[in-house]
Amino acid sequence: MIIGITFLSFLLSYLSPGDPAQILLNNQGVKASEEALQSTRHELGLDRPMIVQYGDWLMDLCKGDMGTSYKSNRPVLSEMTAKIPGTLILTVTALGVTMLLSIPLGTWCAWHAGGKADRLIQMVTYLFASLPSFFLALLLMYFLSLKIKIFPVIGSLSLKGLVMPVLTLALTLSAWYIRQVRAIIRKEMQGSYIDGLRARGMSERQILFGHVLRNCRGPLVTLIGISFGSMLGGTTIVESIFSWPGVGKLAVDAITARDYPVIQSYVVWMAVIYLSINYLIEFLYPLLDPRTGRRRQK
Amino acid sequence: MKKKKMIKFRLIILMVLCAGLLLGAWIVRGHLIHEPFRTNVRQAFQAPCREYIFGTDNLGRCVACRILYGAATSLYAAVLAVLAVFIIGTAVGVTAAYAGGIVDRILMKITLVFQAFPNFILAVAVAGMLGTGLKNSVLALGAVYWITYAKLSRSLVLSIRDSEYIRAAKICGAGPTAIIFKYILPNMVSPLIVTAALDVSSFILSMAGLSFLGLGPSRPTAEWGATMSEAKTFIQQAPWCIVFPGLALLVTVVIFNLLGDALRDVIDEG
Repeated sequence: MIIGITFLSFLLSYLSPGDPAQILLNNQGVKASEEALQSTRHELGLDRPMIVQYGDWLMDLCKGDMGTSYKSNRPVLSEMTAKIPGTLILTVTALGVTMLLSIPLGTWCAWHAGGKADRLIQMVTYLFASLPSFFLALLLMYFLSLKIKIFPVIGSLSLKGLVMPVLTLALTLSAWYIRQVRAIIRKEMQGSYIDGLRARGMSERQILFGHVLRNCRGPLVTLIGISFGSMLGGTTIVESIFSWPGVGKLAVDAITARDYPVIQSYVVWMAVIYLSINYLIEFLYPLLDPRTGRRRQK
Repeated sequence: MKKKKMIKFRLIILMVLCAGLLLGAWIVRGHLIHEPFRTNVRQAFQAPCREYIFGTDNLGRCVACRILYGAATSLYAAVLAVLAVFIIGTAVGVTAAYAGGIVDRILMKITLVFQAFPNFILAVAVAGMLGTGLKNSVLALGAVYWITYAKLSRSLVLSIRDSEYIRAAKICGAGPTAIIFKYILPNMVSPLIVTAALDVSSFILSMAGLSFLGLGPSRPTAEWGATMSEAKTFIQQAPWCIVFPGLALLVTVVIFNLLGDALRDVIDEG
């Protein structure tokens, strides 16, 4: 798996049409003569066969060396690790807000399915799910920063700077989340045991909180795993709109500068984070839903 | 019975609407009142008025005309790209499932590797590495989207492959190509079509996202995402330069989403 990920990431830059030697020299302000290009290519090891280059790159990666940025000439790893906390803070906060918003709302909708409010919420979430996140971000920016002036236009690592990026991510994701939560709970409520509980005279509230929600913990946690990827993806756009100091912005800037080592390590990092979250959830699942754990042991 | 008719009716309306959008986007290009690329600085930052119903941007270009002009880019790119990934992904999935053994294992490993990356990030990276341009951004998104079809079609083939009628066809002497094209594909195509219909809207969204980041078609194509990205710098003077392309995007995505849902409902109802 790891080999596959690293190979694909390596292949991306190997197949890219730009010539790194040219870019490197241009960024250093050197006029690229053919000789200088040749020697830089040799220095970077670009004249060797692809598999050898990949092997070297992978060995360096294992040692924690992700190459040097063409643009800033600093090690990519330190540039990345400096920016990763920013992205993680953004992602985790946005995910938290999404859960706080969508689990109660989704549950409520499922419980009152078919009612007027449910239908209204369904319509609103449908619209929001079709709303491009950058459009929402720009609208928020226009109204909250420029018209009412409560939040800064540029996100800084502060509570106030966090609000708008988080709001953008959370609102777009919640639209999808609310619908999923509603579907999960509706499905659970169709279980025959619910009729059994009702027949025993248990109150609706007890059924909902004591049984339905308890049984939905597993699927709800799985949702986080699925959505974590789109959340990470969303950060690229949101970070570059609000100039949030995270890896997404770093990567977009790197793309403009054709700074391949940075893009490469960005992709590797994101895949590793995404995979770890999903492994973690797979590990947590049996704890939340003991039925699956026991079945596996058998 | 009545409900069934309603669902079918809705689908037909939406299909006509989408076809109209596609056709309209094509025709309207030649009949714009203002040149979408002609700059006229004296007309810059005009608020929506009778002459310019959606206002003008920083170079005095008509926002409405640019939206109409850019529509074709987003729509045709999305529809053609989804068609391409549909065919490629399905081909991979069917090959994997029907060949089985080592071919299946290798192809599935490849899809697993692609799946390890968050979708949009993979697309951004591919587009970033390949450089800007319409073709590259479509390629980048295609690299992400084909997986769904490969996996779905593989599982569909596996569920059909061992059924009675396929065995009967084999006994009658049908070769693998005949079995795949005559007996397997027609029986698995509807879930794939529903996925494709829903993917068109998400393709339009991701495509706009890419070009918003500056990874889309190079200027001057008046692509909606790119237009909005340009307009970000003068959002305070001319919010209409963002609101109208954004609304155009929203409406288009909603319409294609509705089409996908309607198609799914019709197929579910049988």
